Amino acid sequence: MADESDDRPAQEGPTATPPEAIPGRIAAQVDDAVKVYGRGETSVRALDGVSVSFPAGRFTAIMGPSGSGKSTLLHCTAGLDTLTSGRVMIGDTDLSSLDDRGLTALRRDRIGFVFQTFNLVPTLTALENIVLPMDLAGRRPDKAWLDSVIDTLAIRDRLKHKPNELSGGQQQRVAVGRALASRPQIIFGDEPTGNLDSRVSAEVLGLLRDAVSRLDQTVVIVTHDPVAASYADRVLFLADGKIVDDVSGPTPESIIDHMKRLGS
Amino acid sequence: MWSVTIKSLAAHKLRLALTALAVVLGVAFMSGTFVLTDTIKHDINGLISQTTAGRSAVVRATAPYGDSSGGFAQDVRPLTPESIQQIVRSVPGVAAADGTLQGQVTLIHDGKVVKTKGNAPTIALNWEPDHQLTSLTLRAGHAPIGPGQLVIDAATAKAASLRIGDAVTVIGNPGPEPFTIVGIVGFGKANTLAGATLTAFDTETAQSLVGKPGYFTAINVAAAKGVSSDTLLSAIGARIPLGFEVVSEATVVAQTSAGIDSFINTFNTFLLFFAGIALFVGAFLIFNTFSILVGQRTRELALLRAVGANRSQVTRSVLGEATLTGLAGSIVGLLVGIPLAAGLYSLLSTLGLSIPSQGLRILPRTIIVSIVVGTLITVASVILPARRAGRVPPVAAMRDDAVIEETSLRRRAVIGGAVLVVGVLALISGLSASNGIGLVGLGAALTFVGVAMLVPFIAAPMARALGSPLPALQGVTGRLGRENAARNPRRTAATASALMVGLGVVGAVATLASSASASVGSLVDRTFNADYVITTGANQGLFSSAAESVVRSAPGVIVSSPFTQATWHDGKVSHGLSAIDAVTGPQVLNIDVVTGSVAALARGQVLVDSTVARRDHLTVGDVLPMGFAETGVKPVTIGGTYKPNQLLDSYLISTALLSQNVTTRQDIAILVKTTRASAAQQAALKSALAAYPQLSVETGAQFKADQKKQINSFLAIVYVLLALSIIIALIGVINTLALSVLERTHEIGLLRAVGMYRRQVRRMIRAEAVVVSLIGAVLGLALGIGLGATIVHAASSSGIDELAIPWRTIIVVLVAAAIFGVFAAVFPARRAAKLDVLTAVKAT
Repeated sequence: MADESDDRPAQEGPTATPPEAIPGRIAAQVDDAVKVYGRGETSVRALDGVSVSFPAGRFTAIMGPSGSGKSTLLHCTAGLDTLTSGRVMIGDTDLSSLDDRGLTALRRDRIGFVFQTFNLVPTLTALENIVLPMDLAGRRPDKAWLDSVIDTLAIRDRLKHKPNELSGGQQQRVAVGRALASRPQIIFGDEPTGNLDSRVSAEVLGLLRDAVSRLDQTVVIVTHDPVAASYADRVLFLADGKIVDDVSGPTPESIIDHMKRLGS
Repeated sequence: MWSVTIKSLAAHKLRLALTALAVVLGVAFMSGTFVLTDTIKHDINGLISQTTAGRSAVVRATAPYGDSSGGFAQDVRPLTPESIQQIVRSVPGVAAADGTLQGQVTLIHDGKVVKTKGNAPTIALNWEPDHQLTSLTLRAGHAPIGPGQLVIDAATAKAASLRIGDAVTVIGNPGPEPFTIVGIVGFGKANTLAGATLTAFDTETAQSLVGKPGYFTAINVAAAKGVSSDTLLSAIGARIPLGFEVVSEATVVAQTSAGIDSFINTFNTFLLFFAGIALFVGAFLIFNTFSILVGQRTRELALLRAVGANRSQVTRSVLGEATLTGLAGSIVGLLVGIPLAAGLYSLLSTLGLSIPSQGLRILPRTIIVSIVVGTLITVASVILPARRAGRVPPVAAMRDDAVIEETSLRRRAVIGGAVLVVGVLALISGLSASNGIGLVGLGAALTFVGVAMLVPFIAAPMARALGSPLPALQGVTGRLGRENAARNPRRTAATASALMVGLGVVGAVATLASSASASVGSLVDRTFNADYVITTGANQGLFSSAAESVVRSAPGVIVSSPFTQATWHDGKVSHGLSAIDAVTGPQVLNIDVVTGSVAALARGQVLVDSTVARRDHLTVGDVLPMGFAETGVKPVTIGGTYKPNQLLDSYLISTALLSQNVTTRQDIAILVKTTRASAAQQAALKSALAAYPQLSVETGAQFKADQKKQINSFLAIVYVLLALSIIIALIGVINTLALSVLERTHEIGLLRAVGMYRRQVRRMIRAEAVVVSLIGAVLGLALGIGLGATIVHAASSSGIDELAIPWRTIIVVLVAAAIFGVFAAVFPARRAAKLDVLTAVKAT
C-alpha cells in the first residue's frame, strides 16, 4: 500500500491527528462491542461481543440477515451511536472518550458517509454538498484532491446543480464525492446502493472500489446484496449480534454459498 | 368522520395548542376590552344616578345649537341669571331651587400645581346650601363662606396631603388668589368624581372665579313631597321665560350618560381596533399551521380517501378540527379576558380613575361576540387548507413522494393582485370620503391580504437578498439558514405576512406621527414670529387669561398676544375659529394676507382662509352671520382673506370680539416678542410668572420638542397595544419553524452525521428565523410607510401636510426584527439540535 499521507494537508480542529497510514495499519478497531436496546425482558442484544478490526486501505462489506446487528455495528463504529459496553477506536481515538462535540468533529474530519437515501442537502448544490464537511469545519478543501475526486466521479458538469436536478445515480456519486472529499480515515456506507438499479449500483460500487484501490481509502459498507459485497476485499457475516464468518476475496457465488450456509 | 376529527386533534395537541393560543390572545384582548369598557360605563353611570338622587329637575337656558358635543363636555348654552332662580323658587311644588355653576380652576399649594395622577381637570363648583340638591357631601370641617374659603374633595386631600386650615392659591378668572381649606367633601359616597379634583366655594366666590356675578350654569330643583315629576315640570315650564327650559332629572342623567357612553365607546373602538389586528395576525398563523399540517398529513388524508371518504368529508373533517380549535380558543380567550379587564381596571384606578366599583360587567354580548368572532376567524382561515386537503388523491396513500397539488401560481397572482387593487381603491376612496374610516380599515386589511397573497412570488429572492450577508458572517450554516428560508416561499410568505401586518401598522403609525411632528414643526416655523410661547405645556393645568397682563409688563417684552381657539355656528354646523389680539397678534404671528388687511381685526371684523372664502364665495365686505352659543348670531364683516394656515383655523377674529361673546375666554397660549431672546430673558419671564406655576415659557424650538413629546407618548401607547399582535406573529414564527424542523428531520440528521455541531444546527435555524423576520419587517415597513404616506397625503388639509419618513423607527424595527427572529428560533433550534442523529439517519 502506497503511503500518500505526506502530501495530506495538516488537519485543524480538535481531532487534528494526522493518521499515518503505515502499511498494515488499522483504520478502525472494535473490541468486545455490546449493544443492548431496551431494558428488562424486552431488551434486545443487537451486538453481542463483537471484536473486529478494519485495516486501512481495504474495502470491507458487512452482511447478515435483518436484525443481525450489521447496521448497529456500522453506526457504532462510525460514531453515530454509542455502545453499551466495549470499545471503538478510530485510528488512535477511543470513541467512548468523546462527547457529542468530539464525536461530531470526528465524523466531520475523519469519517466519510454514504447513506441509502437522503444523502444530500436539497438546498445546496452538488459542489456545496461535496465540500459541506469542510465548510462546517471552516476549512478550505485541498483543491488538487478535490479535482481528482470530481474527475474520478465524472460529475464536473453537474456541480452547480441542486440534488433535485440530478438522477439517483448522480446523487449517489455526489454523496461518494462528499465522503471522499475530506480524505477521511474511513468511509462508511449504509446500504449505499440500496435504492439504485443494478447498472447505477455497479457504477457507484466501482467508484468505492477505485477509492480503495487507486486513492488508498478505507471503505466499510453494510449491504444485503451479494453482488455489492463482491466488490469488497473482505466480507464479514453477522448473525444474532455476532460475527459468524469472515471471507477474503469474495465473489458473488462464494458469498451466496456462505449466506446459504448461514441459512439466511 | 367526527371520530377522525377528534383523533386528529388529539394527535396534534401541541401544534393546535399554539394555534389556539393565537385565538386565545386575540379573543382575550377583545373580551377584555368589552368587559373593561362596560364596567367603566356602568360604574360611572351608577355614580351619577346615585349622587343626584335628591334632584328632581334642572332649569337651564336652551342650547341654541342642540346637543352636538359629546363626551364629558357640556353643551354650550347661555348662563342662567339669578332672577330665574327666584322665579323657580316661587313655583308651587318646588321644595328647593339652587343655582349651580361650575368651571375649571388651577389649585396651587406650596408653589406647585395640585393635580391628580390621571391629569383630570380641577373642577370649581359653588356650594349649594340645600344639601339634597348637591352631589357634594361634607366629610369634615364646614361649608365655604365668603371669599378666601374653599372645600376640596377627600381623594385630592389625601393624595396631596392637604388638611383643613392649609393655605392654597386658586387661579380663576381674576388670577391667583389666596384661599384657606375649611372643609373636606366627598362626591356622594365616593371620594371624588372619576379622578377629578373638586373644589367648592360659596356662590359669589365661585361666580367671580369661573363665571359671572349674578349668573349660574343651571338651577337644580327639588320637588316637594307628593309632587310628581310631570306636575313639577309643567308648573315650572309655565313660569320660566322663553330661552329657558326645564328638564327632568332622568333626562339630565340620560344626557350625561350618553355623553360618557359616547366617550367610552370611542375608547372601546380604539382598543377593539388593536384586538382586531391581533385576530387578523392570528388568522395568518392559523392558516399557515393548518396548511403545513395538511401537507404533512397527505398520506393519512389519502388513506381516508382510499378507504372511501369523499372530498367533502375530508374537507369537513379539517374544518371540524378548526371549529373545535377556534371554539376552545375563544372560550379560553373569553375567560382570560375577564381577569385581564379586572387588572386593567385596577391599573386605571391606581392611575387616578377612582370610581366605586360595582363588580365586573360581563354582558351576554361580550360572550357571544367573543366566541362567534374567535371561532369564525379560525374557520375562515382554514377554508383554503381544508379544501386543499379534500383534493388529496387517494393514490397518495401508496406513494412516498406525493404532494398535494398547489393552487396555480397564476391564479394566485391574479386573485392576490385583484384583492390588492380593490384594497388600495377602498383605502383611497375611504380617505377622500368625509366619513370613510370603516372603508379605510377594510381597504388596509384587503391591501395586507393582497400583498400577503403576492409575497410568495418575492419571498425567495427577498430571503436571498436579506440573507446575503449570512454566508460571510457564519459560513455554511448561514447559507443553509438563508436557503431554508427561501426553499418554501409560500410558508415563509405566510409566516412573514403575520409579522408584516403588525409591523405594517407600526410603520403607518410611525409615519403619521413623524409627519405630524414635522408638520407641527414647520407650521410653528412658518407662523410664529415670537421669541417665546407661554402655554400650560405638559403640565395639563388650566391656562389663565389673567397671566396676559403679567406678561405684557414683564421686563424685556416688546409685544405679546394671547392666542385662543373657539367655535361659531352657522345654524347647521359649527366651525373652528382662532382669536388673537387685534393689534399685537399680527406682530407675533405671520398671517399671509391675500386680500384686505389684518387691520380689519381691530375694527371687529373677521379674516377668512382664502380657500374657504373661494369655496363659500365670500369676499371682503360681505357680512358673515356668526352664531355664538352664549350670545346668539352676530353679523361680522369680512375684512380680509389669508393663505390657509392650520394654526389659525379658517376664521380669525380678535380676542376682544371673542370676549364679547363668551363668559370665560379660554386662552391656549401667549406669544411673546422680546428685545433680545436669551436665557436670561427666558428666566426673567419665568420669574415674572412665578405665581402661575402651571405655565411654561418655551422658545419655539422647545415648544416644538414639547409637541413632539406629546405625539410620541401617544405613539408609545399605540406600540404597547400592538405588542400583542407582534407576540402572536412571534408564536407564528416559532410554530412554522418547529413544523419545518419536524419536516426536515432527515436532513438535519444528515447534517449532524456529516459533522454539524449542535451549535451549528441552532445557528442555522436562527439564521432562517432572522431572514423570515426580516422579510416580514421589510414588507411591513414598506407597506406601513406607504399606507402612512397615503393617509398623510389625504389628510393634508387637516394639518398633517408634511411627509416625514421615520428613519429611526425603521432602523429600530429592523434591528428588533432580527432580535425577534433569534428569540423565535430558541425553541425550534433547541429541538432541532436535540434530534437524535441515528433516528434521523435510519428512518426512511
